[in-house]
Amino acid sequence: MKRTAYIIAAALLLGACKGIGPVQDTDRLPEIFPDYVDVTVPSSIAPLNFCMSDESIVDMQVVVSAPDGRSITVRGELAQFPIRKWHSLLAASVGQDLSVSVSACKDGAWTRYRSFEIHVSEDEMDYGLSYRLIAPGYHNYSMMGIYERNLSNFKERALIENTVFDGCVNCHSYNQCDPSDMSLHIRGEHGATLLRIDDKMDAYDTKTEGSVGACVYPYWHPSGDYIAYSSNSTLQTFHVANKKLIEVFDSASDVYVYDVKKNELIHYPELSGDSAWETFPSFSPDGRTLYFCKARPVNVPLNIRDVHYDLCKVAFDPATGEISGPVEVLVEASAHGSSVSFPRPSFDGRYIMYALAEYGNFSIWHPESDLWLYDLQTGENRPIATANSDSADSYHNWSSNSRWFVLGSRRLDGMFTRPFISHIDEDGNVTKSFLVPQENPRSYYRNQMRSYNIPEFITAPVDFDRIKAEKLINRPARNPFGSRISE
Amino acid sequence: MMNEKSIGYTKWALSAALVLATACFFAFPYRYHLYFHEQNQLLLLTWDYFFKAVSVPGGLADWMGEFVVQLFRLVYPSALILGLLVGKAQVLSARLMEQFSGKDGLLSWVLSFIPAILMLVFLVSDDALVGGAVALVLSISCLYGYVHIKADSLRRIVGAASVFVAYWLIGPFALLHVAGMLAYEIVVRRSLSPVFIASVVLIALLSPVVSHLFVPVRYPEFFYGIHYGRVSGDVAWWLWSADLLLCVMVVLAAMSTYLRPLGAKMNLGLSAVLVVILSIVGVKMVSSVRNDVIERTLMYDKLYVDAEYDKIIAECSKELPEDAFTALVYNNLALAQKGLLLEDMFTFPQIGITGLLPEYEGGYFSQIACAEVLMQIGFVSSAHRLFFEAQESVPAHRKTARCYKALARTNIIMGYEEAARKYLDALSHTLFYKHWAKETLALLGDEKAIGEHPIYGAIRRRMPRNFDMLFNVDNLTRALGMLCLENPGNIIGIQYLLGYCLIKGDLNSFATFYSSANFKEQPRACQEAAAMIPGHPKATEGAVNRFRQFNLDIQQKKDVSYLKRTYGDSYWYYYSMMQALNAQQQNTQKQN
Repeated sequence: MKRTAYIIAAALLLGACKGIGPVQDTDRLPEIFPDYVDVTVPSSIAPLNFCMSDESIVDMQVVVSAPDGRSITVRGELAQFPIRKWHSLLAASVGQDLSVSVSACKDGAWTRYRSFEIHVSEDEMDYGLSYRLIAPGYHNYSMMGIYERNLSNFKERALIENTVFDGCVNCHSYNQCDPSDMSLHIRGEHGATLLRIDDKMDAYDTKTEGSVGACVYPYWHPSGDYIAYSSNSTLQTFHVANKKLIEVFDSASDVYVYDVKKNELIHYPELSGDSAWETFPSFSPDGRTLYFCKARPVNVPLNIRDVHYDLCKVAFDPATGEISGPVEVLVEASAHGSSVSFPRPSFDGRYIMYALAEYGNFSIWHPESDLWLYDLQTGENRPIATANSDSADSYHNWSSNSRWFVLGSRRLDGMFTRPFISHIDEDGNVTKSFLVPQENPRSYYRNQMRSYNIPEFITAPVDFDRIKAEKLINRPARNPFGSRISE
Repeated sequence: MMNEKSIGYTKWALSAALVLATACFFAFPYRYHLYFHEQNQLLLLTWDYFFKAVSVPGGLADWMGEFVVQLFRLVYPSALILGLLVGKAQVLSARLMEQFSGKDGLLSWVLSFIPAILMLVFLVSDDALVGGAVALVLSISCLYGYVHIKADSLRRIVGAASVFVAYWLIGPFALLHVAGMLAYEIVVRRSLSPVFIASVVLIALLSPVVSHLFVPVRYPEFFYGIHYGRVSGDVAWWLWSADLLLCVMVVLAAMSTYLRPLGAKMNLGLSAVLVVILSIVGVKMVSSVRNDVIERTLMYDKLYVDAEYDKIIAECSKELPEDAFTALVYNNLALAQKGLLLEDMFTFPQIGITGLLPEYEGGYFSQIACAEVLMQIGFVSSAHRLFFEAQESVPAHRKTARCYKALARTNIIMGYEEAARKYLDALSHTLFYKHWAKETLALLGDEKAIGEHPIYGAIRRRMPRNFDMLFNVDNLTRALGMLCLENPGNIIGIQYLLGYCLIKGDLNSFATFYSSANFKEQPRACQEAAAMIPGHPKATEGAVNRFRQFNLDIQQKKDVSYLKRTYGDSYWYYYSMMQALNAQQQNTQKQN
C-alpha cells in the first residue's frame, strides 16, 4: 500500500515537472477561443478559460502574470485557471494589466506566442446576467427558459423553463438591473404576464380594449411605478436566399405605459393608432423621457425593406403618467435607409445604445445589424466599432453603473446568439467585447444548441419562486389590466 | 391429463410464442415502426447526456429505452429485443404471481400474459416511448427482487430504503409496486408492521412531492410518469393498465391461498380458453392501435434516405392509398432525381400541389418531406427552416438524429460551417451516425471538397445566387421561375417549376417557362400540356393528334372507366379531372 502511494506520488511529481521542451518564439499573437486578447474585464469576472482555436493543438502552457509578480501556470488542451487563484490575481491587478503568455505544441513542436494583456478595470460589474435560452428557430419552439448566471463563477440556474407549462416564456425585464421587480411574459395556451412587485407575484391578462394585443417588450420606470410596454402584431416570413433567413416584423404596434399602482394601462393617442408603428419603449434614468422606435406603416411583408424605424422621444410626467409635448425624432434612421431597434439609455443618463439594421425591427436576424451609441450630451451618433462584428450584433443592455454593456452577437457561427461584454469608460471609449467565460468554453458553446436572448445584467440573484410561478401560470385565472385613455 | 413436465413445456412454448409473435410483428408487417422510434430520438453516448437524463424521476429507464432504440436501425435484432422485453414482462409477472400464490399452475402463467399484451399494445402505439416499457419491466423486477429476500427485517429495510431510489430511477411505476410490497407483507407474510407500512407509504407519497421541489416539470407528471409516453402531459394508459392489472393480479394471487384450489382439469380448460381469448383480444387491440398511414409514410421516408429511388417508384406503382400523400411527394422527388418527373409524373395518381410539395405547416413528417424537396430544388434556406421546425416540433423537447443530420447538411451547404460543426459534433457521440459525422467534420473548412461533394456541391450549385425574395406558397411559381432563370442547369428545379405549373393547371406560366427550357427529348407531360396550348412551338404532332382524340372522346361522353384506361396516365386526364373537381367544389359552395 505504502509502495503504491510512493509510486503514485512519484508519477504525479514527474508529471508536474514535465517541461515543454525546446520552444520556438514567434511574434504572432496566439489564436485562441474565446478571443480574450487585449480585452478589458472587471476584477470579479470568472476565469477566462480558453483553448487554441486550432483544435489539433491539444497541449499548451499558459502563464498569467500579475504586475506584482504573482502568476498562474496551467497546462493542457484547455487553459483552465483555478478560480480562487484567478480572483486573487485579478484583485491584485485592478486598474492594471495581466500578462498572458501562451506556448502551444503542434505536431510535437512548441511555439511561444507574443504575450498579450488582459486589462483589469477599476469599474465593478454586476452580480450576473439573466437571459432566455431558446433555439434560434421559427414558428415551433422546443425547450426554453429564463436563466441567471453568476459572472464570478460558472454557475447557471434556471428561473423558469417551459417544462412546467405549455407555451413560450419571453420578455423578462428587471428595473435597472435590480431583480426585485420583474415582468415576465408567457405566450401560448397559458398566456399571461407575470409581474412581481414588492415580493408579490401575480399573473395578468395585459390585453385591454383597444390595444393591439398582449403587452410585450417591457421597460421599468426607474421609480418602479410604471412599466412601458409595446403591443405588437408580430409575424414572420422567410427568405429564399440564405444571407438572411427570416424576417420577423410587425404589422401593427403601439406603445403603452402601465401604471402599477392603479393597475391601469395608459393608452396615448400620440403613441397608438394606424398612422405609425411604435415599439421598443424605454424610460430615461430620470424617468422624465420615454424613448421608443417609430416607423411609417407600409404594406408588409411585400414592402418590408421599406420599414425604417426612427429613434424618438417624448416627455413623460412620473407624477401623472401623462406624456406631453411633441414626439421628437432623435435619430432619423429612415432618412439614411436604416432602422433602429432596442434603444437602451445608459443608467447614468449619458448615452442611448441601439441596434441599427438596414430595415425592420428584429435585428438579430440581420447580419448587417450593429450597435450604435448616441451621446445625449453632445449629440454624437456613432457605431461601436470595437464591439461590433460582421455578423448580427443586436440586443444589448447596460450594467447598473453604466460602465459595462452586454450584447447578443452571432459572430461565432452566424446562427446562434452568444453573450459578449464590453467596457465603456467615462469618455465613451469602448473596449473589445469578450465572450462570457465558461468553464470549458469550446465544449460549452459548441454543445449549447440554444441562443442567448435578451441578456440583462442583474445586481443580485433573482429571488424567484418557481413553484408559485408554475401554479400561477397553469391556473386559468388572470388579473385583468385596467385601462384608461390619456387625457 | 398433462403432467408437470408437459405443463412446464406448455408454459415455455406459450412464452416463446409471445416473444416470436412480437418479434415477427416488428420485423415484418410493422418494421418501419422501429425506424419511427429511432428517427425520433438522439441519444448521445456522453456522461453529460446520461447525467442529464437521470436527473429526473424515471430518467434511468428512459435512458435505457433510448439505448435500446438507437439499435433500431438493425431491424431483426431490434424486433427480437422488443419480443424479449415483452416476454420478460410476462415471465416476471408469472414468477411474481407464483411467489404470491405459492402455486405454479398453468392458469396463473396464462394470466400473466395480460400485462405483457398490454405492454405490446403500448409499444405498437405512436405515443409510446420504449423507456416506459423498460420502466415497467424494471418495476416488476424490483418487486420480484424484493420478495426474494428471505430475511424479513432485511427485506423490509431494503424495501423501505429503495422506494425513493426506485422512484427516481424508474418513475411512478415504482410507487405502485409499493402496493405490491405491502400486499406481500400483509397477505403472504401475514405481518402487520406499522413502522414498515407507515414508512413505506410515507416515502411513496412524498417521493413525487419532494421531487417536484427540485425538478422543473409539471406537477402531475411526477405521478403518472415524465417519460413513459412520447408526448409530455399524456398518460401512458396502456402501460398503466398493465401495471395496475398486475398489481391486482398479484394481490388476488396472494388471496387465492385462502381459496380451494381448482382441479387440474378445470385449470387446464380455463387456461386453454384464456389463451384463445387473449390471442384474439391481443390481435384486435394491436390492429386497432397500429397506424398504417405513418408506417407507409415512414417506409417512403426510409427509402428516400437510403436513396432507393427505384424502390420508391416501384412501391408507388402498386395501388397508392389515398391517405399516403407523403408517398407521392417522395415518389415525385425520386422521379425528379432520376430526371423523370415530367416524363412519368402523371402515370401516378397526382393529388394536387400537396403531392408535389406538402403543407409547410403540417406535422413532423410532412415538414421533413417538404424540406427534402426544397433542398433538392435549391431552396436550402427554406429547407433549413422546415428541418428546424420539424426538429422543434418533436414532443417532450427531444432532438432527433434525422434533423441534426439534415441541419448539419443545410448549414454546410449555406456556408454556416461552424453551425454545422455543432450538429456534427453531437452526432459524433452517437453509435450509428458517428462515422458519417466524422467524415463530414473532415470536410469542414475545405471549400474545394465541399464544392466537389456530390450532395453539398451539387445542391450549392442549384441555390439562388443573385436574387432573393420572401418565400411563400403563393409566389412559389415566381420563386421557381427566378431560380431556373438564374441557373438553367438546375434540372431538378426546372422539373419542379414545370411540374408545379402543370399540377396547378397554370398553362400560361407553363407555356412561358417551357418555351425557354432546354430538353434533349421533350418530356411526355410537357408534350401533352403543350398540345393543349394553341400554337405552342414545342407541341409535337403526335401529342396534338392524341389530344384531339381525347377531346373527341370527351365530347362523345365516353365513360370514365374508358377514359381512365385510355388516358389515365396523361396530363389531359389529370387536367380534366382537376377541372371537374373544381367545378364540383364551386357548385357545392354556391349551393351552401
